[in-house]
Amino acid sequence: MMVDITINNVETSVPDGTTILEAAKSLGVHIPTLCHLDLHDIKMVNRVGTCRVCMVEVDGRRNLLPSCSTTVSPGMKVYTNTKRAVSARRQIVELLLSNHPKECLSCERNQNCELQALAAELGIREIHFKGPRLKTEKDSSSYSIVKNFEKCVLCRRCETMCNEIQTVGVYSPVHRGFDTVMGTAFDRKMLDTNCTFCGQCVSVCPTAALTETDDTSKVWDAINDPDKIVIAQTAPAIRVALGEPFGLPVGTRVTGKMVSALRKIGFDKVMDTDFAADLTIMEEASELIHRIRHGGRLPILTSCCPAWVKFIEHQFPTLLDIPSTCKSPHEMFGAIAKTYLADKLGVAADKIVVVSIMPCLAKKFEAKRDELSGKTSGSDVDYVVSTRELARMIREAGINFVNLQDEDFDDVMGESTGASVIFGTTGGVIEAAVRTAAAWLDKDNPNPEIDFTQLRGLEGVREAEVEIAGMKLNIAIAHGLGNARNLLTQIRDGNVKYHAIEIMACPSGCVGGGGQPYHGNNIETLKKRAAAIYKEDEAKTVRRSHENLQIKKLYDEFLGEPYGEKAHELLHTHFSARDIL
Amino acid sequence: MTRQIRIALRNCGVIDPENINDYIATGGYDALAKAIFSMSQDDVIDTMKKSGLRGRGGAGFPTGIKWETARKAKSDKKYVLCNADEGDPGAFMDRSVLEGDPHCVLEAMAICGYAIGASEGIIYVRAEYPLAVKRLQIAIDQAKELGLFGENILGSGFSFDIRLYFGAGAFVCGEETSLMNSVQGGRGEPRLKPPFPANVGLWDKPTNINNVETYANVTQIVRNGWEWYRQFGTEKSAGTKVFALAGKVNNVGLVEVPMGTTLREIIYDIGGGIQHHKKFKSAQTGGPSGGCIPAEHLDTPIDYESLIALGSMMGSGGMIVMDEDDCMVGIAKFYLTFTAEESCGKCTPCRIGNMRLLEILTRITEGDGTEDDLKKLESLGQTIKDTALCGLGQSSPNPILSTLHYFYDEYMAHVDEKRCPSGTCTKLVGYKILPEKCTGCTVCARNCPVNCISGERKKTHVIDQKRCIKCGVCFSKCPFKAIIRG
Amino acid sequence: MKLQSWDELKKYRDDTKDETSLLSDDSKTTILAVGEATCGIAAGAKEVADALQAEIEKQKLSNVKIIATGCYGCCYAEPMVEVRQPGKDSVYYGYVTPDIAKDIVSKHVANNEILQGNVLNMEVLIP
Repeated sequence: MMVDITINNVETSVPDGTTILEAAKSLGVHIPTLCHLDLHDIKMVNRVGTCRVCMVEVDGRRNLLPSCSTTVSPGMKVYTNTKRAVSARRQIVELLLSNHPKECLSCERNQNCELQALAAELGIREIHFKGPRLKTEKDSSSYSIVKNFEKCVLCRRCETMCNEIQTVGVYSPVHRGFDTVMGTAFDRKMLDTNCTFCGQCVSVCPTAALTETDDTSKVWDAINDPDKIVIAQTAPAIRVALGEPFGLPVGTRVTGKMVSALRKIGFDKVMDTDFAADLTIMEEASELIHRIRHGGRLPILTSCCPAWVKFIEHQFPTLLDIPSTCKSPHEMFGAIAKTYLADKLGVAADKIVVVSIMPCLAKKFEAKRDELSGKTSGSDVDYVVSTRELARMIREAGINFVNLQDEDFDDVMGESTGASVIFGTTGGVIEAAVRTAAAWLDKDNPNPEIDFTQLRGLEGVREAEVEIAGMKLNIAIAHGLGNARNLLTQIRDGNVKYHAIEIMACPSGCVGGGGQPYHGNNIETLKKRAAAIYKEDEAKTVRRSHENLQIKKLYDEFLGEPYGEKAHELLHTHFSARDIL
Repeated sequence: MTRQIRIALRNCGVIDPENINDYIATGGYDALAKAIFSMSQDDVIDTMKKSGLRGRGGAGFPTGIKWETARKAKSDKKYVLCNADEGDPGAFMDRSVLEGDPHCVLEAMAICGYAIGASEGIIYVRAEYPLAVKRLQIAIDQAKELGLFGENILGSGFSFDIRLYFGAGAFVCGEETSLMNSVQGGRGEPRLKPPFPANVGLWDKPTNINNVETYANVTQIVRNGWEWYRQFGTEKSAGTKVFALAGKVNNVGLVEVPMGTTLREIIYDIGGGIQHHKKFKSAQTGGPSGGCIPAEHLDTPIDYESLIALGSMMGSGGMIVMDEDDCMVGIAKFYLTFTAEESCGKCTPCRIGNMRLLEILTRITEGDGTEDDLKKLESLGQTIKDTALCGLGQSSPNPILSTLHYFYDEYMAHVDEKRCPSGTCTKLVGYKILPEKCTGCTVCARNCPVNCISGERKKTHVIDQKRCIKCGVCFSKCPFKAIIRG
Repeated sequence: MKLQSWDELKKYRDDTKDETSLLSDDSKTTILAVGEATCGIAAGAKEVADALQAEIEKQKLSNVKIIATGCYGCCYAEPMVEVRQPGKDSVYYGYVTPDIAKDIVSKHVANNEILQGNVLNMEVLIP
């Protein structure tokens, strides 16, 4: 049913159930918003109506109405820019600013802050209401996320994301009135909560109330230490997003520029996590085949996503024998770098500093896990910096990123296949595994299938049947922890039978990771990054992990058999149950 | 008790609330029996609509229409909720009904359940009302024992059960959607409306929610018919309203009068006038959501519309009478302190706006206010009214806006002359001893808690203004009226 | 006992009528109703009720029953006691202390002597 309304005296007809904000947008009428967020495809819609910025005047209504959460009704006459609406909007923003630390110059979100942008948009030149601000303690306890709720505007996006989409439920408002603040259960420090550190709250936070833990200064220190060999490794999703902070169109692939920038920053070696992704496939595909052949526990769940791993440890401690025991790719990289690579380079392992450039904040926590250190020298991975942090480092170093010449990764651990690139988006890991499994199981087929498009897409939970050499593999894919929870509940209750499952904590996978450049509340950004990932894959001549020559060499020279003894020691890990709160 | 007509309170002070037989003897549960045996669901709703009963919790929404919406909503499960989270400062009519006549609320909820097609009722009652809780539970138990609740009531086939849910004292939980969040175990925060509770309520099921006093009218309407009820009150506001009369009035207490009674009748005829023969200044109605009505409007007949026209509202029926000694800026500050503290903090205007309003008011009462501050109060107050998420936030500036409107001079005295005309803003008050009247009796000096009054016996005393804490003890103790305030 | 029909409810009402605190004209009981809502209790209604009971026992009066009722609405005059006697208008006493309670029993109930100074509804004093 269509509803006839007028907005600023322009007649229009919109479907029943449309909000005033959406209707206005369809007419090209802009209404400023703050708390509102609609990432429709991943079902993340924050329509809580808390900020009261998008207020509009509607004929016959006593009060102003929030356009983001008011649906149209027949004959509605909406005015978006009357004096009353505009002045109310300004006062609301002034109120928010009156309770906000005005330290924009030194703020993490300087020039990238929705509140700042809103104040500029509304032309706020003076804050008429002055009074004390709410003081809260900054929580830097976790290795991943810094909570500074003095900068919080209580938009509740983090809560919606964490509670409804991720079903983790770390945040909830506590206290009343002016003292209201987003809190954790029993006021615990972030490190002591069941937070998975996926960082999706950071992704949607409009201000710097939630930010990543900044590790750049530690990386600078290592780079400037002449005794250290500092090795950078870059995750698949970085190369399709790093151009954004430098003004390149969303979806631009900047692999070569990224390598060049890392060298200019001063990394001794620039290598690729994609190499380790290929290594992961070698191990994971072997493990899958091993489990199928030896009647092991099925389904096998991918374990590359550290947020997802922490989630299952908290939420499904009885299912800890299901995930693959494979370390995540960058951890494998670290383990190999500090053994095999150290030998090759002829340096002591403790001279090597591995820095992972990740689209992810959970990787920062992961790098600190006890079981992921000690076998080599210190931690497998020393530091993790996010895409956003790398962009800051590039700026800090005065590098003109846009005009950089493309460069190639360093040898030994720099080669990668198309299969590893697609790790960066939902469905990619499992597709990479299937590519290799298909080739291995179907030895007689000279041209085994490569593109398993049935595994791709943005649907929250996807199922597909893949037939390889007469064997039917039932595969499921979930991205977003809420979707993962549904799938795991089904598995726990024995309602479904799958062979293999890929789970990524972040909606859309690593391209939408918590450490990626802010997506500007635009789901198209994530889609374009994913498309770029598949383009990168297609551009590769080698697209199956086991065909990576450097990987073959690694096994021949050092590891021996995939899923063998040495591999177990260096490339596999274990999980431990954690409290549900 | 003249001029009162007791419908909601008819059994309070008459029956023993802990004995169901008392209630039954007054005709109790006949209304429920009448509804289920001789009326269709639509008959009941029709009766409620024609009676003109409107929600007594504050907003005055027509009860019959609310019931009708819940009746029309399609669902396998519906709820009847009773809002017994009375939280306005100075309002206690709901508590009195629950303590004096719990069955009338229970019976009404069952009637509502029958009308809308619900089989479960929940009373959200403040845990701070232990006696009401106790009597409600006794009433529920006794009624269940007689088969008046539970399965197959009176053999009719209609089943209805009631249980209690305790509120923890957040003011905002008196707002219906916050109340439902609270019952569901969540944080007491309002939801966006629409959807309204009648369609999407408790656990997202259609829910009818009325407050105690509204339900207290229902049994009499069903028993006596809507025509009977219509004879009381005004065209738009039918029936009676209970007011909790408090403040500087002689007969403090609960009064139930027909809608349309004037403030003057309530305060002077029933309330016995102002204490100590002082001058009436203002009546605050509607609690923190209401406003202050000045003397020139004493003869306005009270109903929902007239109070809103005066910048106040019916609210739950608190009525606080103020005399010449009350500072209207101070009163506004009192209510703002309450709302700022009780705001749930969900929306910006209520969370930050009310705090900023309070800070401005505090400045004014401490002599640091400017005329510009008055403009800010007005404009920010209007914005909060325009933009807050729930009814509580939208009405929170009313005490300021109405006092600004009616008592602007008093505000001006505070900001312009740094003077509090009623002498209650301590920072603006000073005490002085008039030499011509002081006899040197030493009473003031002996009673001064900070010993800042000096002077020899039988000689004029002096107050050391630097040390004076402006407590006013000397002023009230001086037997010769030699101390002036100003 | 579960009532099974409206008629049973009506019958139950008739059967229990005499045990209630609502008096019919032919009733023999005097009821002393004490306002025991929170407001009354806070003002001392429990002590007043105890004093009434003690005096009834002292005077060895029969056919006198004390009930706790709800709020009379006259908070300013709490604690309140209402003397309810068959065929007569109720007499409401306000500002009742345990001493006055004693007098209500010994004078009003036992000797039909209304305590004029404490009556709230003065109209009952007009013959």
